[in-house]
Amino acid sequence: MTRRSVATAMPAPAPPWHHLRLGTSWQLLIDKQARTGLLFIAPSVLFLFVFVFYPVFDVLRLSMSAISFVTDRERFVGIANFVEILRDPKLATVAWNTLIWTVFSLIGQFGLGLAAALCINQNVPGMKLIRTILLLPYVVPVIALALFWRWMLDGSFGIISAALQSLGVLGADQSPLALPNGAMASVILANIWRGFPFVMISYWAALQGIPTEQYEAARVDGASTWQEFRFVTLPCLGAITRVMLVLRLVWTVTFFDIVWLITRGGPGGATEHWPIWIYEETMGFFRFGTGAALAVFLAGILIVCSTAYLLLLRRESDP
Amino acid sequence: MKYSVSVAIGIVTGLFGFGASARAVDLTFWTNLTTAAQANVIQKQINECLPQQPGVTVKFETVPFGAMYTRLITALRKDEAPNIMNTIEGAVGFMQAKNGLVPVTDVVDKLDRKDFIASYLNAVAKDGQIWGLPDWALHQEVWYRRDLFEKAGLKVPHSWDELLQAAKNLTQAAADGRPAMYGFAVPMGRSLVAPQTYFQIFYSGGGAIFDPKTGNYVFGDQKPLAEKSLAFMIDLYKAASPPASVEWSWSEYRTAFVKGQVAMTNEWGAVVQMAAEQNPDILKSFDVFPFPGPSAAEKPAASLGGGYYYLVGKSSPDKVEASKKLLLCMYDAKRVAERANSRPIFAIPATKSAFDSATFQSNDTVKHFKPQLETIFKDVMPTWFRYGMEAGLNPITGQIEATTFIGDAVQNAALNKIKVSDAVNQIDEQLRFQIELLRK
Repeated sequence: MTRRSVATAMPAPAPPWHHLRLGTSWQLLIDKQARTGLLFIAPSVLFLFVFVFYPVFDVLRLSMSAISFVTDRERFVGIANFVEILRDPKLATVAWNTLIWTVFSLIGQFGLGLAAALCINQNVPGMKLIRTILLLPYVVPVIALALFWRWMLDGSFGIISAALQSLGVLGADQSPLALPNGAMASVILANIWRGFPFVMISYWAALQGIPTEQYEAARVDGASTWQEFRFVTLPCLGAITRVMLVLRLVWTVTFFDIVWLITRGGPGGATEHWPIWIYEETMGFFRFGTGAALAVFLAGILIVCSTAYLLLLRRESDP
Repeated sequence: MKYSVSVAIGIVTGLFGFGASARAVDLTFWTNLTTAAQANVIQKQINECLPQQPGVTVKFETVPFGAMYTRLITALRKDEAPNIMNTIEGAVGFMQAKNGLVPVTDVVDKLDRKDFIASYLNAVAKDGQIWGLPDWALHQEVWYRRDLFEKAGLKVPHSWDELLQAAKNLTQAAADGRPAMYGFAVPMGRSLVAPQTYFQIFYSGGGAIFDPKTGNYVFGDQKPLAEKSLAFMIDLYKAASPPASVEWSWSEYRTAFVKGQVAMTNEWGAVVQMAAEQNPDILKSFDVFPFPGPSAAEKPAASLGGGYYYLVGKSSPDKVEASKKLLLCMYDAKRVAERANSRPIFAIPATKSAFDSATFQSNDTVKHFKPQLETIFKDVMPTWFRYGMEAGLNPITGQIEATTFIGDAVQNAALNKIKVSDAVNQIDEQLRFQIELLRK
């Protein structure tokens, strides 16, 4: 017997309340409950339609339109905006900048976040204060953070630039922000500094959940500290890492503020990543269609990457 | 019958004071926020002028420059553009192109067209109409340290070569090899600043994007001058400017000048107020000269300037009328001078009557910089352009200010990533592309 024939031979599953012979009063009650339920979810559905579905639909519509600067008249152009993006000489540079920005930001945030989480997981006096201090970068407004980094990187008065100048890494009165590679490294560092507390807190919560028995058993088996970390801690952090990686990937790729406020995408476009390109097309050249197409393009890439990653993980976790 | 009804309505409205003169008119008034003092003085003047128009109310709002275009686009789409707006010339071009303005030619004529400095009216003229009332006349010239010039035995430069030589002479190395002083700050911040520095040099040599007489696009025909200007700018940067200035914006080069790190800089006069707050002792040695042209034999053709303007948004006839009446009141010479005094030297009144008024001339800062103001008023303000507006109002100015293609080309040339000729070609290609976009 084939699998299909078994399936067709099976009766359709009955609803959980099939043993009840529903009278009119019960039916009414269920209807009333359903109506009440619908009323409860109505605000959420409305919220989703207004703030999620409609904007997404509108961006999709805009991505296939060209809007006249003067008259605001819209005209359907199909995939012309996407073709234009693929032909744009800027595409390779911006895509490369976005990749560098994202990969190094994530490596830095996860590395520093994990190291910080392991530190704050220790029960030593004053740890509460240290935890609070380490959280500060995440709660400081981005504008303040950007100004703070710009000052530290100032070629004449900045502490970081002065240190690099005295080490001979930079010339006199030079700033990393004035050098293409230095500017990219600077904004990545600022982003690592800004984003690592989120990773730290998430890892710390996961570390708190690891049963101490596992460490005790490892010690009984003669495991070293490194082996405890490698074979107990890291596997237990797998699940949270997978979730955070997807989240931080999306947040980092689309993070506009910090780069714009520190370098404006310069010098010479060296730090211009995808969100800055979207902003410039939309609010600089007022080409809303191209800006929307760029946003859809980026969303598409992110959806493909995230789905591929989740599928890969599912395949790995299958027995 | 109809007649008697209308008479009755007339009597009733007359009795209850519902006449046209007292009809409620609510105006929205936006100003770009440059300083709190400027916003305060505008608010004060609105309050002074409003009693002349019973029934008119004003909702006053300051809009940060960075959010201006976004706000304007949204407002225009919702048909809620401000009735009056105080903003820079680029936004005048933007609003006019979007059909969001009414001309203010009648207001200019009522106030006396001759009283306005002609260059500031020309910048916002289009189709035989004036689209903005000049208020703050902005100006860009070289600000320098007179004491350092005297010490080095230097005279005011009259050509690019003389300027470069003076800048080199003033760049002094300290004992550790680190320059103690740079001759000339050449800021090239990607957004706004690089185009302003570059076009100051390009205009001084007689260049333009559009021919001031015909309005035709001519930048492409002027590539030799465009390349020469950019090459000079980069030479000046490499010889006498702090290396980090390739990404400097206004605050950085002004700080460097006020703190005594650079001897000269291309500036709008904002260093005066900054020095008064941070390093008042240095003020007495500040002086100015117009940015020189390529040759000492000829005066600089023009400079890069700008201005703040009052615009009247397209709206119902009663609101347009009320807006214009309010502006007429605010253009009393004393009030124009008061507004300029809220940011002295950076802002100079765009009307001669206000410039000559006791209110302006008795301001302490103005008195201190009287000779410098004479130079600016006589030699800089009469001949200036803003990129793209050489032949009058043009929305491309807004595009240049809101984007970074000129900054990218300039910075990449300064960083030796591309050749000067490639940078100029990039600017030319982008300008043509933008012009084409605006035509569609």
